[in-house]
Amino acid sequence: MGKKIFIMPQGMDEYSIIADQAAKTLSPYLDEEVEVESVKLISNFPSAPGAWQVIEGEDTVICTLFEEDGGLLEAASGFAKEDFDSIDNEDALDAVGELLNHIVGNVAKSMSESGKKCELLPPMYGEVDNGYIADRICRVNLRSGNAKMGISIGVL
Amino acid sequence: MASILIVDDSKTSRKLLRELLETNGFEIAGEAVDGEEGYQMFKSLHPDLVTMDITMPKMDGIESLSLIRHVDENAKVIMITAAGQREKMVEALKRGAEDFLTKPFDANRVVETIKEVLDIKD
Repeated sequence: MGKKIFIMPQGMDEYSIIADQAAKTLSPYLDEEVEVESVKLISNFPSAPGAWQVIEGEDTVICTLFEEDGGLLEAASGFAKEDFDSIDNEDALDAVGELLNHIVGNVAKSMSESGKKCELLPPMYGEVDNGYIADRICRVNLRSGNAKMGISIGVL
Repeated sequence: MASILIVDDSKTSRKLLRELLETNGFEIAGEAVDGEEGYQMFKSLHPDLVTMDITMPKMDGIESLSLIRHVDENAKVIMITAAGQREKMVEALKRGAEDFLTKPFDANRVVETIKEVLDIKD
């Protein structure tokens, strides 16, 4: 079966790279390859445990990586080489923050190679419904087999 | 064997790097969670090498590097960064960092870089 093609909401095409990098970065730590399942515009950042990180460039972009149905716990455990029993475990969330740092770092590298300067702030973790507000927020649902997680991209 | 101080705000990163380095025979002098603590630990522990994450809260790796190099101009510091921080890497090299490594860690590259900086021959 071919790879699913996803379409970003209008005005957010340039941020498809974040979804791509998320799938690529997370895949090695899960049993099955991560794919983008669906994409949609949302009003607020999802309220779920995970991590968030800010990219400051021409736009300010807030990326969050959040748990949906066990996917993030599996990825965090695989990445940290530990058997976390809950995503709410602080060590598990630290691993999520670091995974997000890798995702965002590769995005920043790509932006830099395209001539777009950007700066990364340190990742933070906890409940990703963190009080941030954005003009546009896109939710990308990711799946690895039966495990699900999500990434949201907010643009100010 | 050489002693290394690991400075990174991520517990996961510190753990993964510590395991990699210990597996390859290096001694871990200590671990610091931000640039300020890294600077203080450098002064008290006198490690042979410091691995310094660039993006950290409270005090970032660039500032910590500058402070360390100010107290010891021969201090050996390798910067650690996620990809995409080219300007900060260049700044760090200008301030005296020996080299840099990107995350996720490539085990061979980490060991080769550290051995090269410490002039350790196989």
